[in-house]
Amino acid sequence: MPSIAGRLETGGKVVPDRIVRTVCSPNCSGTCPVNAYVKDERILKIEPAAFPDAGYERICLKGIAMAMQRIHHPDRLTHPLRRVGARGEGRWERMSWEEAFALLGDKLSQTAAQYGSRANAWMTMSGNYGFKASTVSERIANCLGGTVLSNGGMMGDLNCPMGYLPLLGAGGAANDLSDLHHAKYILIFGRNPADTDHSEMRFLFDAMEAGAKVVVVDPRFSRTAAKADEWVSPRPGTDAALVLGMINVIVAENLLDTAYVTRHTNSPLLVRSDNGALLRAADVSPGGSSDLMVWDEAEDAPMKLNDAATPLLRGRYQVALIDGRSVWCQPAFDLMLQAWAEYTPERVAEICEVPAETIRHIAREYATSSPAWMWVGAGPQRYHHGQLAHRAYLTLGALCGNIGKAYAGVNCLDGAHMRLTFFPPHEWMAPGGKYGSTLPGVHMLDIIASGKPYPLKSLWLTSYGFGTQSPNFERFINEALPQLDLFVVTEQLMTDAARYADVVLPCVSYYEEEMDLVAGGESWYLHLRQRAIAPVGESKNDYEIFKGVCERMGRGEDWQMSNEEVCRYALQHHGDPAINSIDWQTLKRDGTVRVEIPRPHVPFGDLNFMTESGRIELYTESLKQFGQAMLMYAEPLESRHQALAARYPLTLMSHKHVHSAHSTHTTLPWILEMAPEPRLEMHPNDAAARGIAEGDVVRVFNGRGEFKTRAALSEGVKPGMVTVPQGYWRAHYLAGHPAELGHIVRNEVQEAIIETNYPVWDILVQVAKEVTDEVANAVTKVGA
Amino acid sequence: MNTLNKQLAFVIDLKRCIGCDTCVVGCKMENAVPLGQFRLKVYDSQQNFQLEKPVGLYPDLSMSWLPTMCHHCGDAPCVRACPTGTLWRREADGMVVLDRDKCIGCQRCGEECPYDALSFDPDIGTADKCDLCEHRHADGGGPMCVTVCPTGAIHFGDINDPASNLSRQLGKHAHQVLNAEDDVRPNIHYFAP
Amino acid sequence: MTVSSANKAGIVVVGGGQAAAQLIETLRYEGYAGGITLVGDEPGLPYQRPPLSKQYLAGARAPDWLLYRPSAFYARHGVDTLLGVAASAIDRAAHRITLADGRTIAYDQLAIATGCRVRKLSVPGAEVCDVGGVHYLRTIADVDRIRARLTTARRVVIIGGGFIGLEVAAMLVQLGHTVTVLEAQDRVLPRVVAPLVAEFFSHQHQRHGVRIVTGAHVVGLRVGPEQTREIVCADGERHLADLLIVGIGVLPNVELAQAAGLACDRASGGIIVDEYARSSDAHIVAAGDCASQPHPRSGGHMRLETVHNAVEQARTAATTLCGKEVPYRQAPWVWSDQYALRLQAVGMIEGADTEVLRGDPATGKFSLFYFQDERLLAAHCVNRSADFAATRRLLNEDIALTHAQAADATFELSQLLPARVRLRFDQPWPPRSRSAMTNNL
Repeated sequence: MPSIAGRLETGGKVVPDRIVRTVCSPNCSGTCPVNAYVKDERILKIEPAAFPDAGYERICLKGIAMAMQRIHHPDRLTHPLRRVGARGEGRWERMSWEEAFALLGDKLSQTAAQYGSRANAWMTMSGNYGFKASTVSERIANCLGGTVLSNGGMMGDLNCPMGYLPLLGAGGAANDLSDLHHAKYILIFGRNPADTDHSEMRFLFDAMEAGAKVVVVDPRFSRTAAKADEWVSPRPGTDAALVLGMINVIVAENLLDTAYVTRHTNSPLLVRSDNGALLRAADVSPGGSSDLMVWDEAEDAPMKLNDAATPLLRGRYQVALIDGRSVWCQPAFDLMLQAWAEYTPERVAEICEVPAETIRHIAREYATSSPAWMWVGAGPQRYHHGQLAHRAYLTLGALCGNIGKAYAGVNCLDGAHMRLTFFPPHEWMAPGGKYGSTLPGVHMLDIIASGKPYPLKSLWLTSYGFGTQSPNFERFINEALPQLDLFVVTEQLMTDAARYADVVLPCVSYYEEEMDLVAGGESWYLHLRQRAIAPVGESKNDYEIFKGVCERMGRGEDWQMSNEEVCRYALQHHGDPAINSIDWQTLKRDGTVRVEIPRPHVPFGDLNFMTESGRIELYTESLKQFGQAMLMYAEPLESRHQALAARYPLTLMSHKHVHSAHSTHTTLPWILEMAPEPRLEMHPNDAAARGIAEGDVVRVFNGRGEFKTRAALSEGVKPGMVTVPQGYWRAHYLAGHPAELGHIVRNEVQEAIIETNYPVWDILVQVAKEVTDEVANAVTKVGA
Repeated sequence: MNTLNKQLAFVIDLKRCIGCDTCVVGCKMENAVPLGQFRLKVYDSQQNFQLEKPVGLYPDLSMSWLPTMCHHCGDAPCVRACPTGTLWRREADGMVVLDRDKCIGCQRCGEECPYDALSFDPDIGTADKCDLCEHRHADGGGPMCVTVCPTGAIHFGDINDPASNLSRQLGKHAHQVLNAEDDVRPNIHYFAP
Repeated sequence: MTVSSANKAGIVVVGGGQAAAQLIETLRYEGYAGGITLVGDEPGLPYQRPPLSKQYLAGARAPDWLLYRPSAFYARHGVDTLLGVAASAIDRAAHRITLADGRTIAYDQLAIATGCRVRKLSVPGAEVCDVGGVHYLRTIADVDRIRARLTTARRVVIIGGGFIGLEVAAMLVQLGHTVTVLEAQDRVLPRVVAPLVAEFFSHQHQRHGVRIVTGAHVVGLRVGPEQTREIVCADGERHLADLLIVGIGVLPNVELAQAAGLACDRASGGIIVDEYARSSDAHIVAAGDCASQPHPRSGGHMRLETVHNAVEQARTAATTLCGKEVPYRQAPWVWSDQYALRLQAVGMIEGADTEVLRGDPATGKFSLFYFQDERLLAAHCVNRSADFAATRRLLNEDIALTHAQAADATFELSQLLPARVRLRFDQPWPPRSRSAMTNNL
């Protein structure tokens, strides 16, 4: 009888050796506890494990595919490798860990001796966001006096905190998603929870069933837009204008929360017309303080902010300065309204390509619904002026009195993960007070290529799909790599970046890592993630690898704790009481514990903000030098209203999708069965204008690079833009890669706040039908 | 007293289905379904299961997803077509059983199924389809798709028992079956998208 | 075993194989509510024969597993089953059949599904050797006898290199026996597959250690020591067998029909039926191995000895008995399992003038397409089941296939097939409240 060859001994019909509770934790940040069924050190299957609160259990296709197909992928790296031949040739020689530690330790020592210790650089991203994994890269840099290349800007996720910080004094916050059902109106900007937070989508559905209206603002008809009550499709990168249009409607129709604006924002502060500075007590009385001033209605005079009972928002007032001059001052609010007056719905309709009537009705609905929950995503960050979009959302929220209000707010990201990784124990990060240097990772290409501000001669990447997720990899290869004496990549698979390394080190997956703390990206649970299976091959975790190198260098004293001791230490010495109050034994026993925060969780509920005025600073004097004291709209860096658009008329996006978290899952066979290739989605009109039919091979290009793929025509794409699903590798494209078309342009405002944010989608391209199919026929598929 | 035999059935809420394909992959994992074969597929509104696209013209668009697997039909065309008794409807619980050892790979079942629920080994043609994860029932488990769906869009149980969770779910919203005019008495009931 | 004394108006099915069982099932499905009587000469309920040369021969399954329908099926459908008794005569005028034990049963309509019997080896010595020495493979009892011998038999000789012979060879060599196949023609599977396919299978058998002798004309049998049989061939070669199995074809059981005056076809040997399975008598249908149906191209008749035909023709016959007319026009198909290979064949190769190979026999997976000029006639697929299924639809739906497409293994044949399934909700859903953007600037 014919037998069915090649059937895996996996699944639910095989009896496991053991069932281990652990946590699925790739960069989706869902952080889903799972029970891993193990036999012969292989995972047979996983099932969702229980949370302390019922109804939270979940898993997804990515987690399943990862457990089943990435851990034991045939291309999984199992031993340390040293390059043979030229970089990128792809020839390797295996070495032992002893040899690897010797090679690396000696090389790092030599580099330090020759160029100074800060010439050794480390950069980590988010491929593994357990506590140890997130912190050890910076830790080793501190221990060895090296350089940390910060990752926020390069991640492209800094524009949300940079929008928040000047206004709120905090980087971001969010309600607890399980409270969504309390909201009556849910306005979603540039976020796609059905694709990126599907583990929390049940809460959005519950809210809809409870009667909430859901509006999604996204140029593309996303999975979430398909579920929403209304979809608004603005031109990419114009959200700030859209919001300014809404603000104009709210002001014109008197729908703003005047009391809140007066009491909780710095809108009443007087701004001097001579120098644009905020009026201070010292300006008007000798020996006065730096206290900020308002015009009080009852006193009909300038008064200190905290003394005035009836500050005014409108008007122009003459103020006598101590030097004898008189100067006209206006409340910041008055100035803002003046500045914003041009953004009428009609004007905004032109900018955003959204009907004026839509702008009007969503403005009215948002302003008059209570609670109105604004949920903002990473999408609008991905433009050169992206922090303005987030500033706009906050401004809108503040004008409607929604910040600090239960079940309202302007919600980006908050959860146990932020708490865990944002306040790590000081002694852990910088043992013995040792510090390295920090440089902005977003500029790493220029820094390494130019040797300024100082030479970086070695670069070690961990948890980073560098070759696909960051821009201009080819420029890195041609301009930066030649400057490096040592390029090390710690990886699980030979990624596009690892191919160019001098040394590639095999790291464990989270199923094999002995132990780490992980916490929910959008939930309030902390987990102790424990090993389910033995490490594949000789793979180690980042902590163990760095320990080995430091020991070789005679600097092992800071790396003597066991994995478990580190986790326990991190918990008990954590800077956040909500974390350090968790009992280690309970965590170890249960695997998952709730992080106790006050319920309901209302960010900024006490309406005290860590700003100079203690209020929401809609007027930001610190950014005045950049012309951004007030919310403004700026066209994307590469916009269709520029001359450049004559050559490259289309904006290129790379949308997130349910099938992969970044580049982690795009090589897995089960994922490729459903999402086999990264087709370029374009609107049929844009395609027809170029003679492009469904499935045609197209070339996508601009002045910086090109890639080739097949076209998919979809009405869900706004005309004027094209998009590819993000996370695919070079091998999935017929030629090139979208990352080559990107760029990083220094943004002085962002540099002043934190650092330039990588504007992933602020690029114009042209698309042309490819004349021949030779490239198509020559392609080799990865991962099958 | 309920004297009807059990009829195992599904309710799938197309409003809650986000087309994430977790059910497809969870099923593959639980049942070791080979690459290229599927017990469960999730289609978009245009019957694509890859490259989903919305329906309509920009900006008046809609998009929904449709998970479908074996409907364990009360009058299953696959059972009628099978020349070897590989496919058989079990009276006790209404499940359409597939006995792989009897299958000769002729794929007549695939030619008759209105739901394209069967898939076949590419070499020898052996049929495969949803078996309700029967191996999980003894321990009180149900189909894996139900367990893994992140939005809880799939429900399973005995539709002939008015007190079952499935029957209670069914009572919540208007529902339909697919291809009702084919009259095969399918056992997956859908709520509107 | 019950005889219904109330058996008056009813359908009688003579024959106890798959065609008979399928006929009964379809009768009830199409709504026939009258009495049904099944008369079968084997002692058990209808069962499937193909596994006899495979799983059952290997001892992997009990007889119950072979049943085409479980015993409860017959009771549930109100069928009177008379087993272990043959029908001996049909009185067409009186609408009555007579059984071998003398009983008579009346019928309204009659279905003949008497199948085939093995063709016996008729060489000198065959009768002497026959008693326990020459084995055929058609019934459960046949295989039970073979299995009894397997425990002590080392050397197996199989006369006949057709499907049955080769399947048995594959099974027995894997069970550790020494196997020789004697085929009279110059290749195995003569006339049913192209030389390329025959050669492929021959090679596979030889790889597994089976000795295949073609051009072997058996002229005599002798009893040897210790229950062996000596097979003598025309060229003088002699083969010694501990176990001798003969698979040289089958003969249709049409004597009953002939004696009753029903038209039978000389060439193909079966009871002549039209495409509705109706015989020359308006009240009698026939189906399965015993029936000869219209040949779609030659104007004559053909008789198919396949499970597919048994089942589909029986379905047609039952539908006809219920007064509905659904013609039976399907590309015939058949399969054979040998080792880990599955040959699936669809269509008819007669008249083929061009063969197109798809895939590479060296990989163990290939298909051979048969064309008459540009017209696709048939495909023989080895471990390329997708090709088989696609070709069956191409033939049944009259869809053209070019030689180039057939030869190109990267060209998915399914591309040529119209989508068969359209998933739809037949009622409109109630509208969702949704304010869409109206026009865009």
